[in-house]
Amino acid sequence: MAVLPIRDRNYLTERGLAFEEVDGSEKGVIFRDYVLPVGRFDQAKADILVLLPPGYPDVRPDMFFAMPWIKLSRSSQYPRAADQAHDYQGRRWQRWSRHNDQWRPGVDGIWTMLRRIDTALEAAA
Amino acid sequence: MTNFNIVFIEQQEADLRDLLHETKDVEGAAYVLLRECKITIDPWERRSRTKFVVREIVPIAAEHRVSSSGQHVSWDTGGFVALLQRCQREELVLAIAHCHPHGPRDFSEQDDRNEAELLRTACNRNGPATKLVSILFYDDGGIRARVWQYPKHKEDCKSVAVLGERLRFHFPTAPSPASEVFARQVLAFGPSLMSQLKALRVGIIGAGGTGSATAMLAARAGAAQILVVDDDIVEPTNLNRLHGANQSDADAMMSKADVAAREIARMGLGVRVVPLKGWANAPHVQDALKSCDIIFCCTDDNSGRIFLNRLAYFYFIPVIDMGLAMAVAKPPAVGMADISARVTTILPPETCLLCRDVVDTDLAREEDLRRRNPIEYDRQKREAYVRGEGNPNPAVVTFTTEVACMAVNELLNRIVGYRKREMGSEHRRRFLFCEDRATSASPRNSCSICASKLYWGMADVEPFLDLVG
Repeated sequence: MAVLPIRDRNYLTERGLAFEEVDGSEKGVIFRDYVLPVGRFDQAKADILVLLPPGYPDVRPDMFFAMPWIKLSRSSQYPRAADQAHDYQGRRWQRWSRHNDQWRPGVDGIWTMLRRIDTALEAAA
Repeated sequence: MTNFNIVFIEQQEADLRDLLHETKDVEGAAYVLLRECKITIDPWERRSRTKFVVREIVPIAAEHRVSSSGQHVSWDTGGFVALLQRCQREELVLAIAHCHPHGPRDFSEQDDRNEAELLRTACNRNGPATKLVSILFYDDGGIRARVWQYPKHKEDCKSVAVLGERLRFHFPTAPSPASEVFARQVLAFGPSLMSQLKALRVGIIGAGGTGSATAMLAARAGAAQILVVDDDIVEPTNLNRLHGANQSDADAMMSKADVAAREIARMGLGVRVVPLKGWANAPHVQDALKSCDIIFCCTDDNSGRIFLNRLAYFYFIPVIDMGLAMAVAKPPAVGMADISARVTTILPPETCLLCRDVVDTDLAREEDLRRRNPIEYDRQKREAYVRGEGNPNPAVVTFTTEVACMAVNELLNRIVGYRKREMGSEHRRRFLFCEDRATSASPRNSCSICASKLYWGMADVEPFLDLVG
């Protein structure tokens, strides 16, 4: 069952990015073994989850989530506003509270969210 | 036996007509690519139906044209086979269109033979389940269509709709005379309005202040098939503006949709009215909405608007969206700060509701979260990630009813064209200034819904409306 919109699926396929669509009462997309900025975290890779609210992509996704939990290499601390848990699909994910009020309905898509995730990871490190 | 309809938007029909009438008094032909809208159960006919939505007009290449005259047109089928390949890849249905500039107003025996042969080619190429559609434009501007299925079964489409500034439905049979109940309305706008309204399947989303009024007005105007969708029950605070509702409905916690349906049935106008309890985007409502020819959006629910906004572009179902703003002045000022009504019609190529900033997508997210996961909603509210409910908006029956009148009048105008000038797709009434304005808006750059044609006529797709549900 396809969960992601066509443009999102096309974008991820063209970019060669592995993704897993999760269908259920709460829908989401998981990027397995997403590569993190080198040397900045205690993990080189992590699964990244984006929850897809009803009405996405007209409605913005909000935060993103990581598994395993990621700490900063420098301080061995969790990054700012990334120390809360969110239970999803039987796993306890690390919630990165990164909000976005710049979403452009009808224009933005998963590419926008991935850019935001990359920016958040860079800024945290 | 299936039940078929075809839907064009005006620009597509005009482009096709230009191609078919390229040479005066000579038959012309072209291909049309269609997407299917499969309706499991039409709420009024209680059986399945397929609506074909026009996706693209394809001219016959000059090198494939063989000969044409006032009585015939023939072309090489090389392009036909190439398009069959595309149809299989993109889940399209292929149609051939031609014209009879001097009649007859029906398919000829030669058409029957040619189309049976084309069906054979199509089924050989794409399999026996392949459908072939044939569209005929005849001399007085009428359109009729039929669907061919393996091996040689052909069936007339019940209607061919051309939708835009005007809404025109072409039927293969002559309309029955209008009931004398509508004699005074016929005096105003003629009998054709009645036959068009009688055939329309009208969806009304929301049966509150504006929705209950819209439902009553549409029925009294002559709409004969009405769907009313609402998830709410009647409450005592609704009784100041809910047409047809009374205290006993509030006491019995009757659904607003059921009350509207009951009141329409009591009119005795022969309206077939179907009430549905649920939100616009609920799975059990989707099939019924796909069945509608036109939808009045009478909800103040943002997620419902997001959903209907896309439905208009995917399925070419005009959505007449209405809104009423009533704001009390903030002290020390007194009186009303604003009373204004808005009626916006969305359908390609008009600008969508998102680009018009009519929808608050953040509120839509919160409304859905509150409905689906109240615990998480409360948690996010505590953490201030959601705004929470505000105070109830003021509502006065005369104004909610007036916006409903504006919306139903928009439908009447699109059928009969009574206005002396085009008002565009949105107009606003500012009650404080006794002023009407036509307002326009441009699509946002590269909006996938209204600026690009990506979704226009896409019809059935997974996920539904290419939207997370």
